[in-house]
Amino acid sequence: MDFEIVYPKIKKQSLAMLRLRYIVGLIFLAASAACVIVNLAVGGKAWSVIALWGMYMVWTLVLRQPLVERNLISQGVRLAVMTGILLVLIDRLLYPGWAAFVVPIVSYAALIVLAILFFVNVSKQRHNVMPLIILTVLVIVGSTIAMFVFSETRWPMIVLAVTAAVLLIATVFILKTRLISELVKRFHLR
Amino acid sequence: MSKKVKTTEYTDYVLTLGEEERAELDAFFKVLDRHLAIGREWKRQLVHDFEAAILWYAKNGVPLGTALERLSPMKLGGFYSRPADDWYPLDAAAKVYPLSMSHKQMAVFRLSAYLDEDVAPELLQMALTFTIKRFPFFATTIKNGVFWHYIDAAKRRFPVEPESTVPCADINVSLTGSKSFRVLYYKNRVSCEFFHILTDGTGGMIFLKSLTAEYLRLRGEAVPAEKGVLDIDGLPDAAESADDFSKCVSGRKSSGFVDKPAIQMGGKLSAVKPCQVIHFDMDAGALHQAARERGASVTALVTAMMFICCKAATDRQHGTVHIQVPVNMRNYFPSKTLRNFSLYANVHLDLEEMHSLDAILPEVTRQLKEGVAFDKMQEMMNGAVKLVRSVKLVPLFIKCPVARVVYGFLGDRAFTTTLSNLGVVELPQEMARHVKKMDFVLGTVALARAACSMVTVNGVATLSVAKLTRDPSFEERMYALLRELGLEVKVSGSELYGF
Repeated sequence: MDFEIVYPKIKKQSLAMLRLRYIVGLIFLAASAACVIVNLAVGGKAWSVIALWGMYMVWTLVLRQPLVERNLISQGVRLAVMTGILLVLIDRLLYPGWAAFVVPIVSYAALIVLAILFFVNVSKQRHNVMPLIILTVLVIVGSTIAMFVFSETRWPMIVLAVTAAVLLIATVFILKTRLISELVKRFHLR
Repeated sequence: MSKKVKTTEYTDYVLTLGEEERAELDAFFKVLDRHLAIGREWKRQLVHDFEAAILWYAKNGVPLGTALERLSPMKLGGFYSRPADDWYPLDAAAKVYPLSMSHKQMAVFRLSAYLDEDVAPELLQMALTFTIKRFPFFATTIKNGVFWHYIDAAKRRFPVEPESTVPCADINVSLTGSKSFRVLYYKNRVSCEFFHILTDGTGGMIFLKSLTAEYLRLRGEAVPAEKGVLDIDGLPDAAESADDFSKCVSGRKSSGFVDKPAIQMGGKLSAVKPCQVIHFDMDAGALHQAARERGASVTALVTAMMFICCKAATDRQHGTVHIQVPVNMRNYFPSKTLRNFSLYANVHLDLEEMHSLDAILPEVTRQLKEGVAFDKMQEMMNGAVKLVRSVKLVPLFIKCPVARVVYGFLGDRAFTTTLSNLGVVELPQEMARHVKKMDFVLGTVALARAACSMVTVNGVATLSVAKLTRDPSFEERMYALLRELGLEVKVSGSELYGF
C-alpha cells in the first residue's frame, strides 16, 4: 500500500507531565499507605492526616490542575482554602493554640492579594469573579462562627470578616447587574 | 531627541504610497478603530492582522482600493465593539463531554478542505476574523456552573495557526477566554478542529464551508451563500444556537444507553492520541456503485468492511464487535441548529459470524435500518433528555467524577469502533472549483484502536482512520477490501507519532 505523508513534522509532544503525574501519583499512593500504617502501628498523634492532606494539596494544585477555569484567582482561592484547612489540621492534631491567630492572618493576606488581582483588571477578571465571591462568603461565615468559638481572641476574626464584607460590597458595587447575570449563569439548570 | 519609530515591512510599504493612498489608509484604520472596543493587546493583534493582509495584497499586485474594499471593517459588524455578555447552556449531547474529559482524553474532531493552491495565512486569518461573528456560540469559552457547565462569550482574536501538533490534539480550554476550536493550515489545507461541546460534524462543516467561502472572497472569488454556506454578514439566527434535543422530545417511551461490553481490537495503546491518521481517497461513484450492486448503502458497506477489519485486528476468536454509527437527527426533525444534534445507532456482530463481506452485509444493513428507525431515535432522544433532567440538581463536583467513571465503563467499553459518515457535501459551484476534496477525522477515545469517518465532496469519497495503536492490521485489511471491490484507492496520512 503506497502511502503519501500529507501532515507536517510535528513538535515532539511532551509526555513529560503525563509521566511525571503517573510516577508522582504512585509515590504519593505508596507514601499515603505507609504514613497511615506507621501512624496506626506506632500510635500517638494523627500526624498522617496532615501528611495525606499535604500530598493532596500538591496533587491538586500542581500536578492535576483543573481542566476548566484555571486562572490566578481560582487557583489562589484553592490555595487559600487548602492552606487554611492544613493550618487548622496542624493546630487540632499536633500543636494546638495558635490557629485562631494564624488562619485569619493567612486568609486576610489571601483576600488582599486576590482583591488586587481582581481590581487591577476588572474587565478581564470579571469573568473569574465567582471563586472570589465564594471565598469572601466563606470567610464571612467562617469568621462569624469562629468569633463565638474563640471568644477570647475575637479581633482577628472581626478584622477579617469586615475586610471580606468590604471586598464583597465593592465587588457588587463594581459589577452591579453583571453580577446578577453571572449568578444566573452559574446556577442555571438547563 | 527625536522619538525612534520602529519600522516594519508594513510601515516601509506605507512610505511607498502616494499621499492620496495614505489618506485612504488612514480613513480605513479610523473606521476600523471604531469597530474594535476590546482589550489593548487583542486590538493591537487585530490591527496587525489587517496590516498583514494589506501587505499580502500589495505583494500580490492587488490594488490598494480593492484590498481595502475586501477587508472593509464593516465586515466585523458589531462583534468587537460590544462587550462579551452572551452565554449558552450546553445541549443535551454536549453535556457529557466536559464531564467526562480528563488530562488524557478530550472529544475533538476535525474537518479539512483541500484547496487548489497553498493557503495564504494572512487572508485565512482575516476570513476567520470576519466569519466568527456569524457563529457567536463558537466565540465562547467553557465555564463551570454549580450544576452544569456552560459556554460563555469570549471577545478576543481567534488566531489561525500553522499545523504543528497531532491532528485532533487536545485543546487547552482551561484559561480565561480560552477558545474551544482551532483553525489550522498546512500547504493547501484548511482545517478546523472542534471540541465537541460546540457542535457536531454537520455544524462544523457549515462553519468550515462558510470560512472557506470567506477566504475565497478575500482571494477574489465571490461565493454565494447557498448549499450550507452561511451569509456571514447576516444576523445569527437564534434557531442556529438552539438545543433541539429538548424541543423534539415526545412520548413517554425512552431507551437507555447501557449495552454489553464490546471486544476491543488488539495492539498496545499509544501514549500519543491519535498515533496516526490515514485517509483512503476513492471515487465516490464507484463506491456507490459497489454498494448498490450488493443492495446496500455506502454506510452499510463500509460498516461491514469495518467488521472484517476489526476481526483482522484481534487475536480473539469469540466476542461481539460493536460499531457505533452516529445519526444526524436533522434528517428526522426540522432543525436549523448548528449545535450538537446527533445520536447513534449500534451495529453488532459476533466474531464467529464474520466469514466474508457478502455474508455479513445483509445483517449489517438490517441492523442499520432498524437502528436508525424514527421510533428508535425518538426513544433514544427521550432517554438522553430524561437522563439530563434527572441529574440536573446534582452539583457538578459530584457529577464530574461519577460521569468519568460511568463513561469509562459504559461509554468506551460499549463499542469497538465508530463510523461517522457525513455523506455527500454539496458546495456552491464557485467554491467547488477551488476545493479538491475534504476530510473528516474523529478524535480517538480511550480504548477503541481505530475511529473511522467519511465525507464525500466533488466526487471524492475520503474514508479516514484515526489510530490508537501501531498495529497496521485494520488499515491493511481495509485497503485490501476496497481493492477487492475494484476501487482505485489513494492512501495518504500522517507518520506514526510517538513511536
